[in-house]
Amino acid sequence: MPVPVYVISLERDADRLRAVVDQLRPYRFLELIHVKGFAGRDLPDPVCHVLTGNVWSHHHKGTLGCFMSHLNAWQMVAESDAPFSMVVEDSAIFSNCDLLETLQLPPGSHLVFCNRRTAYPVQDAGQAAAGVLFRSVDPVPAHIETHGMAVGTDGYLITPAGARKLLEYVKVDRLFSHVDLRMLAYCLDQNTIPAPDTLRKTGRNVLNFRRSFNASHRLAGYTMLPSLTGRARISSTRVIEDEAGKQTIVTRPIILSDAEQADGERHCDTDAQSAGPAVPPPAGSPFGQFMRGILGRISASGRAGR
Amino acid sequence: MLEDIPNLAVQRIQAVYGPDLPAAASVLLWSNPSSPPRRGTLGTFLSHVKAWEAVACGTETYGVILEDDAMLLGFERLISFPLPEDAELVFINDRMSPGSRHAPPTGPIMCFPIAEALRSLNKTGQGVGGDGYILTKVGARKLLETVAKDRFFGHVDWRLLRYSVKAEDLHGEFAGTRVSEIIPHHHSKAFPPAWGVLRAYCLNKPLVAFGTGGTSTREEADQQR
Repeated sequence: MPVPVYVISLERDADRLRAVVDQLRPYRFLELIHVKGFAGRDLPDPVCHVLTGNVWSHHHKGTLGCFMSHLNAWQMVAESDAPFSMVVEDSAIFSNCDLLETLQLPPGSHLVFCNRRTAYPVQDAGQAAAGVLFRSVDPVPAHIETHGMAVGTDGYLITPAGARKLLEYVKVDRLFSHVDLRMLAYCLDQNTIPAPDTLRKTGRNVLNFRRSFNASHRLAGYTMLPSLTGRARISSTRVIEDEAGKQTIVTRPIILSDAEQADGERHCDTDAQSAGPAVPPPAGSPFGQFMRGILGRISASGRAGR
Repeated sequence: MLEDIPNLAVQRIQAVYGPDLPAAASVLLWSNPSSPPRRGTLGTFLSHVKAWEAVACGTETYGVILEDDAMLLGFERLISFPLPEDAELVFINDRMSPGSRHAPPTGPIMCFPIAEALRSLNKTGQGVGGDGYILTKVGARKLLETVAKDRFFGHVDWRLLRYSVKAEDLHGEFAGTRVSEIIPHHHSKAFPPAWGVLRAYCLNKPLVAFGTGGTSTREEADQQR
């Protein structure tokens, strides 16, 4: 059975799509499928607010568009018969893809980051030489932080079950922030992650995400060696769309009322969700604190700037 | 047709095709757990939101929003009638006007209170229609801020009408009539929309009518998964 490779690319980026196709064409066992990327700049401001539950998200339309593009890919993977698929962005460069022909993911796994940015150093050289190595994602937040990198969604392997889980989780947790941080967060165990203040930047955000979302929203996730993808040194579509989206900003940021805050919290609580909207969320839930923290930081920095 | 009319600056709004939205995002935007998203209807709603944004960030004090199946009826009269000072939304389509689409497209145009439109809807049994309306910059901003809270369930035209009336407007003469059955109930129970957001009017005679005979983009898209 061919391995489906879903290539996310905006319609206007035919050159980027072609570059990916050219790189993967030699691998006859891959089935390339174009996933139409979602141009974030096209999203109206209120749509951003509803999708993310965040009143500042219209400043990051590219980030949201990127998230939505991956949703489209997950939807396709969820409907696939293949044991797993590869999802890549059109900025990806590839290596070791011959491994995919016979690759089997660890039993029960949902997601495997196969990009270089998540490939933290190997402790045991013997293991590194033993072929494909699936490793815990627990060290990844600290690794990306110390290397000044993001998690990256330039390439990952995902099973239909994993895609279905992600699609269900985001219906509750919504689409706030970066899709890569979210995916990594879902792969971490809330009970074993270090306190977020042990990290300071991207890794801290990942840990905060993990704490803010329902603990049952878990994926069995790994990172693998050798890596299969890296990111080409080309401009980021997400950043381009973020900037373009700022040209169309209309709405003033609205500070969430208590009721809206409660709504955001409810959307984070799967038990409340399944029991119906009448069940109020516990006051001061992690999601609420997280959002208030973010709003507080933005508000404070805004004041300082004036 | 529009190009032939002086003093109009026509801007095309790239519509949102509902089936292009990820299914999970549609669920969030539709915000009604008891009914699956109708993606054509959702796309139509979001397309109008984009048009509201264009009006809100435009340089003019108001804009006219037309759907691409609108037929113009003496549309040059648009610039010849005075908008009431407090108007934020004016329905200019035939379904919201006591005047007929079949009448000669001539004669003066004037704004009527929205109650006239409610009477027309009761009489004809038709939908509100989003085929043509005038929206001021202030009105557009109000709409954008309001839908962020109320979300995007249902038909945008009925939502516009909900925002154009107060709940008490449907008492008295309209109690028990068709409009009083639809307007208060056409929403997600989890997100009942606001009432009376806009000062709205209709026209004595329509300036646009919806095109007949073609297929509806919305209905076609609604059929898709």
